[in-house]
Amino acid sequence: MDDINIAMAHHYEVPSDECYLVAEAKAGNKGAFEQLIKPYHSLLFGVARGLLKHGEDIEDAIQDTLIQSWQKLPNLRDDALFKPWLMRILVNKCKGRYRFKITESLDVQPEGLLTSNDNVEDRQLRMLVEDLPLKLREPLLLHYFAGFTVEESARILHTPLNTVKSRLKRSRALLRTAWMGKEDEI
Amino acid sequence: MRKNDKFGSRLRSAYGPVPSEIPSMIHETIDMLPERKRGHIKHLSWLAACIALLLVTSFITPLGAYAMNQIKVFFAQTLGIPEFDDYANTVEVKNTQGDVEVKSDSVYFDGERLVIGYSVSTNTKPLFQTWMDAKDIKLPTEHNDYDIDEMKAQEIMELLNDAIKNYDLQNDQFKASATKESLM
Repeated sequence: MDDINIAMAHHYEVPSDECYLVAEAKAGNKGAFEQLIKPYHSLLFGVARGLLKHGEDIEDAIQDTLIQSWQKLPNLRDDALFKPWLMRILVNKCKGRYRFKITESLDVQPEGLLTSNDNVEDRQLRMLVEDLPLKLREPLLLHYFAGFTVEESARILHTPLNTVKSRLKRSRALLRTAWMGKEDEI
Repeated sequence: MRKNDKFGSRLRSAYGPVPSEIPSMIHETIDMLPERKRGHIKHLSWLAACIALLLVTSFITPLGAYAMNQIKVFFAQTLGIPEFDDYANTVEVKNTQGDVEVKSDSVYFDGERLVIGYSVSTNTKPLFQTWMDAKDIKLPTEHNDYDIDEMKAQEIMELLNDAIKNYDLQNDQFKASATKESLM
């Protein structure tokens, strides 16, 4: 997989030891890989959860992401771009699973690991986000949840910048309409 | 707080908390990942594969032989073998009989031997394809080495000229006037 060529200065802070951990993991050090992934647990889970409905799919997508990123890590040219690179793999894995589920008959399963620690508003917001089409959810999660800039999100998604901008605008408009009484928060 | 930030923190609150199963699942997955070769071992494997490929092609194609020769020339010059002389750029001798052409493509004197690399082709086809034809009619494409004493450059060029002009295409060998003995 190609590196994400983000020409501009990174919007996010690259942790000081991340490049060292990437180099170690590239050389085959699994412990370093685990350390490298640790700060991104919530990011991996949150984005996968936003793109997929079922707990089982989320786990599988994260596992597939870990396996592929381990295998392809030596091909990553710029160690500082580990985070967007990881996110691109995750988004692709989720998309693959999403398409697979669409073509199958949707067999709704109990949410399993998704039911814990919820409050009503969080659940409401997630339901609204889930109702958005996948192509609107992707930039929404990358930009607002994962903290990537619009430009970085566009590169991760391999989508033109203006398309991402308009998708973000549209997704927020749809959420604003749907979430009566909380419009000012969106 | 700006609206964007507010919405971002809302989303993080909705999607953020990581269930306890996730870190242990990640740990188990990483534990089961296959061991990966160290980076430099992988690079060395590639290098070894390239060298092996080059060696093989040097025996079966004129282009491979030429590449091999260039490497030999490069190392000889870099390592500073005192009597090494490369004539590849100054000597180009060819002999044509009918459609078949014998042409020198590398010539050097390493202090002990004059090494003449030559290729065989026809006028109508490019070298690589021609090599296939040449093989069919049993013409050699390998390098030939001739042991000779130290000579001056001019003498070597003359010798080379004679050698290739005297190549007997019919019998697939150098004629009597340019045999190994006569070159020494």
